[in-house]
Amino acid sequence: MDRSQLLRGTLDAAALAVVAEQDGYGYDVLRRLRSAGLNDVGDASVYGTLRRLYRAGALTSYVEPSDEGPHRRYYGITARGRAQLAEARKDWAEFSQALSTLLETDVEVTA
Amino acid sequence: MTTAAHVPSEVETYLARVRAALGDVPADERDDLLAEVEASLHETASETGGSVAAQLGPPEDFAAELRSAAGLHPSTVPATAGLRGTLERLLSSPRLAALLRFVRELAPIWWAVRGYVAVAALALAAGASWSPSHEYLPRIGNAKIGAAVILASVAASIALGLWTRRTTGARLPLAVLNLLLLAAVIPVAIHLSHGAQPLLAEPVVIQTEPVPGLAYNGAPVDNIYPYTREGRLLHDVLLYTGAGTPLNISTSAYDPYRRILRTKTGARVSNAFPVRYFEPGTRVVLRPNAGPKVKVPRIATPPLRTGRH
Repeated sequence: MDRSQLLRGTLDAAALAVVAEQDGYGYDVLRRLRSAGLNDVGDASVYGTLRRLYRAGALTSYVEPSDEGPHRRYYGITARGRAQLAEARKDWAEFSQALSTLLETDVEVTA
Repeated sequence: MTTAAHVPSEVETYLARVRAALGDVPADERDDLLAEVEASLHETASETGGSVAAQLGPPEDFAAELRSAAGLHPSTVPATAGLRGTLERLLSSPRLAALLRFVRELAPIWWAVRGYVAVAALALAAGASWSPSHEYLPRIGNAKIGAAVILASVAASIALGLWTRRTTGARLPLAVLNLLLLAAVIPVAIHLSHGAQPLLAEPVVIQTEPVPGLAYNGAPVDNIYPYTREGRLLHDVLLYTGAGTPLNISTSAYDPYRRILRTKTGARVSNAFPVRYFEPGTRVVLRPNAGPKVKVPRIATPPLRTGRH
């Protein structure tokens, strides 16, 4: 299955989880998502998602000067973002369990 | 992480193309997005040795992904989307919106017109006759009923228009109806401009193109045979109208056989009756007393002179 398709619906939850763990700027969030195993996540997808979550009030943002280049815009999670993340966790748990059951059953049948 | 003290020009070029592809995104939102991207691109560039495009793909694709993830796609289209983009920008322009508002205000005129067009088009399709005095009125039974039907149709059409403004339903059937009636305007307009012409032109033809020369009840008269009350045919009788105009009979082409009277000064006299014709090759009228078979009635002549006149 195309993993980028799978990612599309779950990137919000993933980005929220990363930022909830620790505030981060765009490239930082991207790197942490990748190091968590989401290698197929697109740069632009992450930046766009962060902006959208910020507009929706799930993230807050602040600028920190950087001695390595342009200023960095850090994102932190808000109360609304935490609520959204909790909702996403619940949904994902149910969904992944259901899908795991389905797919494992299928393996047994075709094996 | 290495220092990015100098700005790699490739990043700037890349950014410029991303910005161009996001040309239709509201400026505030675009600037925030690009600020986010710019900082990240510098880090990408410093980590990958400068080749941003190799790492991220074409800037237009990057912009599309950015737009999609940022949730900016529903109200906007990529600036590169050619005709569709142009069309949507045009449709959202304030000038067009003002024009549409203006057209909307004029809509009642169309409602009235379509009410008439509906009846006229149906009358045309049914081959109904049209009032000769009021060419725009089809005769449904007669022109008066036609006028009543048109008034009713116009009223119904206006009521329908007012109702449409209050509701959002039935858009598609109404659009189809309006398009059909708009198309029907063409035959109706052609009928009104062309169909009315013969009715107007007919009397004009009679007045402007009378039968030349003498005529009786519209039929040309080529000769007149005057008889005395005793039944004797007269020759070379000069006839005049009450206005003193000579009743000339003259063919437009020169007729060598016609016996022409002339005045002593040589002018042609064409109001002499009966007109006579020479025998071919001669200057002789062979039978000067020939005439139509007329039985002159016996006449009880009233006195011409009454009283002392």
